[in-house]
Amino acid sequence: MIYDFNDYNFHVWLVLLITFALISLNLIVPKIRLNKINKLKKIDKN
Amino acid sequence: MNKTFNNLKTFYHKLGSSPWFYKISGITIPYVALFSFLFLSIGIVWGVFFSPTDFKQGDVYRIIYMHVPAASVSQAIYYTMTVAAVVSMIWRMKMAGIFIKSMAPIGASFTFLALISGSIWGQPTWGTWWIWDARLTSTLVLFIFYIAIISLYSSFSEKKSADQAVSILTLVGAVNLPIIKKSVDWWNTLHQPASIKFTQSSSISPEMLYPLIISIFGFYLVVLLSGLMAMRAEIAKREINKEWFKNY
Amino acid sequence: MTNLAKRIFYKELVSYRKRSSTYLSPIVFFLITIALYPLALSNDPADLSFLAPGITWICVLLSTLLSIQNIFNEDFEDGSLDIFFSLRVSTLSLVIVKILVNWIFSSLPIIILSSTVVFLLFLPSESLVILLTSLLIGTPVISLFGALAGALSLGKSSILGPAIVLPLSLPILILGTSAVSSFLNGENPSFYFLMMLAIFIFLLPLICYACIGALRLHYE
Repeated sequence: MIYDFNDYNFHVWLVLLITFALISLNLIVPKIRLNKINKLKKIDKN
Repeated sequence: MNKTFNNLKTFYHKLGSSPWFYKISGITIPYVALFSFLFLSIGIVWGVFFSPTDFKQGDVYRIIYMHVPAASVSQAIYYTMTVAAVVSMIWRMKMAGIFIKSMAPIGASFTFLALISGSIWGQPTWGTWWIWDARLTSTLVLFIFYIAIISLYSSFSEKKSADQAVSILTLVGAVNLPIIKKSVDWWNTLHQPASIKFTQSSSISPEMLYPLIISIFGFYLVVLLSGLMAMRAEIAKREINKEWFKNY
Repeated sequence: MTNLAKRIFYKELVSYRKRSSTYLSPIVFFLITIALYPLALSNDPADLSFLAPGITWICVLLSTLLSIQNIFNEDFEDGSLDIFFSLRVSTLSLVIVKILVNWIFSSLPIIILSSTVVFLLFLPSESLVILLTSLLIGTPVISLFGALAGALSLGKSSILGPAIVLPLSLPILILGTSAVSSFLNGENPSFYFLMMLAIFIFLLPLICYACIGALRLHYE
C-alpha cells in the first residue's frame, strides 16, 4: 500500500501529479479557446 | 456488401465536413468524458492504491500505470497523424489538417509525460535520471518531431499551406522514424551500457496487469476526448465567419 | 529534360561562383568548430583521437546545415522560382540540380578539408579513408533533409531548419561514426556504408517530391 510516505512513494505521487496536470491542461486549453470564440460570436450577434 | 461500402463512403464524406463534425462531437463529448473519467480513475486508483507491491522494485513500480499508457499513446498519436497526413495530401481534406494541428500538442504532451515519468522511475530503480538507452533516445526524437511539427505549423500564416506543409513533414517523419529507431538500436548495441538493463523479462501478474490495461484504455479515451475538444476549438477558430457557425 | 537540367546546372555554378560567402562561410565555420573541441575538452592526443570521428561528423553536419537552408531562398526572393512553377517544366530536375550543386559547393570542400583532422585531432591516419568515405556517402542524405527544411521554411525564421534537419539526420550520424569506430575496432565497416547508401537511394525520390510539394505551397 502506498499510504505511508516513504522516499519511494514520493516518486509515484510526483508522476501522478504531473499526469493529472498534463491531462487537465490538455482538456482546459481547448475549452478556454472555444469559450473565447463563442463569446466573440455572441458579441457579434448582438 | 455494396451497401456497407456506400455507408462507409458517406461516413467518410461526412467526416470531411466541419459542421457535421462540430455537431456530432458536441453530442459525443459528454459520453466520452464520462467513460474516460471512469476508466482512468478506475485504472489509476486500482493500480496505484490496491494492486500488490512488486517484490523486486517495491512501490515505485506503480509509476507503470502512468508511464506505459503515456508511452503507448504517444506513439499511437503519431500513427494516426500519419494517416491524416496521407488523407490531407491526397484528398486535400481540411479536417485532416485540423486533426494534425490539434493532435500534435497532445502527442507532444504525452511524449513529455512518458519521458519524465520514465526518468522519475529510473532515478530510484537504476540510480540515474537519464541514460542513453535506445528506447529513451527514440522517444526523445519523437518528442522533438512533435515540437518541430508544432513550430512549423505556427510559422505559416495561411492555414491551408500550413496544413499541407505539416502533412509533408509528418509523412517524412513517419518514414524516418523506423530508420531512426533501427539505427539507434545498432548504436546501442555498439555502446552497450554496463550494468543497467531496461527490458523487463519477468512476466507481470494478473493483479497488476488488469489495472494496467484499464489505465491504457483510459489514456486512449482521454486522448480521444482532448482531441475532440481541440478539434472543435480549431474548427470554431477557422470558421468563425462562416454562416453555419454563426447560426449554430 | 537533360538539356534543361544542364542549363540550370551552369546557371547555378555561375551564381555560386559570384556569391563566395555561401561556400566560404561553412568552411570557416567548420575550421573554427574543429578548433573549439581541443580547447574545450582536452589537448591530449589520446583523448582527441578517440573522439575525432564523432567531432568531425558533428562539425560537418552543423556546417552543411549553415548553407543548405538557404538553398531556395535566393530564387524565391528574386522570383525565378515563381517563373519555374508557372512554366510547368520539370520541377524535379530543378530540385535535384539545386541540391547537387549545393552539395558540390558546400559539402565537398568540407569533406576535403576534414582530412586535416588527421593532424588537428590526431585521427589514426589509416582510418582517414573510412571517415572520408562515410562522409561522401552520408552528406548527400543530409543535403536532402536540408533542402526539404529549406523548402518548408522558405522565407521564414531560420531556426526551423535545424529543428527539422537534425532529428532526421540522426541515423546518418550514427552510421557514419559507427563505420569509423568499427574500423578502429578491427571490424569491416562495409555494412554501415551499404546501410547509408540504402537510406540515400530510398529517400532520394521521396524527399525530392516532398520538396516540390513544399515549394508549390508558396505558389497556390
